[in-house]
Amino acid sequence: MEITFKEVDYTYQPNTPFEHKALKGVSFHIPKGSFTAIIGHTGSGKSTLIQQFNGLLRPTKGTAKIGEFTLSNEKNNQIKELRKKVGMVFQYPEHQLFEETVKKDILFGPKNFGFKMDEVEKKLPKILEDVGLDESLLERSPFELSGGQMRRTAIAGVMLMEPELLVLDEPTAGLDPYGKRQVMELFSHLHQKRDQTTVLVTHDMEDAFKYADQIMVLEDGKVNLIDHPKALYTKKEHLQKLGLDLPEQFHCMDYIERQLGVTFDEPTLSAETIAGLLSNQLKGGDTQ
Amino acid sequence: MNQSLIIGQFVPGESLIHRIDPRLKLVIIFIYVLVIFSAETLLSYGILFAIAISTAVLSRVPATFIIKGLKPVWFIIALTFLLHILLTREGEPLITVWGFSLYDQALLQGLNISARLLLLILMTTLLTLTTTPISITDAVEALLKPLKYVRFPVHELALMMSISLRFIPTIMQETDKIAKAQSSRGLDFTTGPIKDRLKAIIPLLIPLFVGAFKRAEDLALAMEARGYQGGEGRTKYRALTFQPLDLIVALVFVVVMTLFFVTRT
Ligand SMILES: Nc1ncnc2c1ncn2[C@@H]1O[C@H](COP(=O)(O)OP(=O)(O)OP(=O)(O)O)[C@@H](O)[C@H]1O
Ligand SMILES: [Mg+2]
Repeated sequence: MEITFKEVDYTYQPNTPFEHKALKGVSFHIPKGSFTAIIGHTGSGKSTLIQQFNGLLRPTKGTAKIGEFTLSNEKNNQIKELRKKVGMVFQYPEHQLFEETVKKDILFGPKNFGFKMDEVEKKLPKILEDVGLDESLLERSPFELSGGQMRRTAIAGVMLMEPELLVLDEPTAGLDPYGKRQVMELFSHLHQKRDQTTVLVTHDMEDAFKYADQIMVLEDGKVNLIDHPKALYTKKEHLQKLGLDLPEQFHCMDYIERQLGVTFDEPTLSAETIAGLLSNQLKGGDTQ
Repeated sequence: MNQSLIIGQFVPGESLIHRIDPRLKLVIIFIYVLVIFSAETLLSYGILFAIAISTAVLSRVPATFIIKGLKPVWFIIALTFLLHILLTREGEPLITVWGFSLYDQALLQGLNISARLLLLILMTTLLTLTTTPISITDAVEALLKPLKYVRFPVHELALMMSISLRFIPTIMQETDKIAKAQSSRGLDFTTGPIKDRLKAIIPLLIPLFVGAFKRAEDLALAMEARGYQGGEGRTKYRALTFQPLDLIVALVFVVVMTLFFVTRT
């Protein structure tokens, strides 16, 4: 699903002393099929932004186009259709578990959106395998699960609906490093396998640079920067000025540049490529 | 989040009203509320309204915020007024329309009750708008202290109060988050027949309760881990002190109240 924002403002609790402008004139474009990472400081408006994607919040001003749906300050009565196509994975999955069994909870979304339940159930084992959830857990109560298992349950429920747009708000918060990698690999894999647009909100620069083909930096409710991860290497001073972490590779390349007096003009992001270049260099070859 | 009703909310500020000792505020409100019900004459109502309005102005809370925030209350007041006018059959009929007469006593009672209701809600709302829940609890604890001698668990009561007040915003936020998560999964609690809408509350309530119980357990554990134990010998982080300002406020209030009692009947 293609996303186009035009001058979108969002104000929490307008006309009260608690009024807070969380988005200020946000405009951007996310092409169909892309993997976009949104980064920014805490409170910069990331969650507020992505909640516009399925109409949980409506723009106070401006328009947001999500696929064929147009959202603005006016009420839109196609919201349910939109939500059917937009899958959301939130930061805290325990906020949504309520059924007696894990299975029922996974099937809650598809049921609400009127999917054919027998077809959905047929897909269930495959999805469980994908998200790494053991089938023996299906009849357990969701409240007996570990944090990681709860998250996988939530993800399975979303994946069953085969969303056209998958929105992930810090989907790996609270997972151990291994679980984190596994979940991120899963999203990346699903993204490549399916005809899907993915938006990932994250504090983890490594993830943003590793998986995304477009990175958007939010700062104080405005889009500060939106570019390809590679292009951001040339803007690393700017990122640092914003107080954002750079991914380890950038530091590594920086260090190599300073120590060896070489310059990487075409930024490379994987450790293998850096190693290749380096060995070339050491053997007396060129950097390219 | 319910944004249309402001009763119970706190608006941070540095105004005169914000700075008054919460104990004094509580006492004043208590007396004020009792006194409302003995107002009879126009002049006495005038005095009560003057108190309420000057408090509102001095609190520096925007007037539009208060007026809009009491919207649901306006409705209740109007309804009360209407019921009184329609149902009371005492005194002389003033006018008769289509065989229905409006009695002067009805009008009088209707106005009386509406005015009292309005004052009551206005003043108590101003109290919570300008006093943090914690200050109110501290004040309640301080004022109830004498009851300790009859073994009334004053401190425990205050603790319960402050914990509940502390977690109201948290629970509101959590409700908001849960509602969003469930709406994203296609739950719909704003349209459809009442029966469906009631059923749609279950996916909201269960995570909310689970969260609340978990939080209570965590809190108890955290308190125990830090060696918390009851009231005896505990010192306060925010000690309440009676300032010269409070003395002035108290004196003014006494003077105004005397005036009120002179004009009451
Ligand atoms: N319900 C609300 N009412 C008022 N203000 C809010 C509300 N929710 C968020 N805000 C404010 O809006 C701003 C943006 O919040 P948002 O949750 O979008 O930030 P974020 O970028 O997702 O941060 P984080 O990285 O911590 O998740 C913050 O300053 C926050 O205080
Ligand atoms: Mg957030």
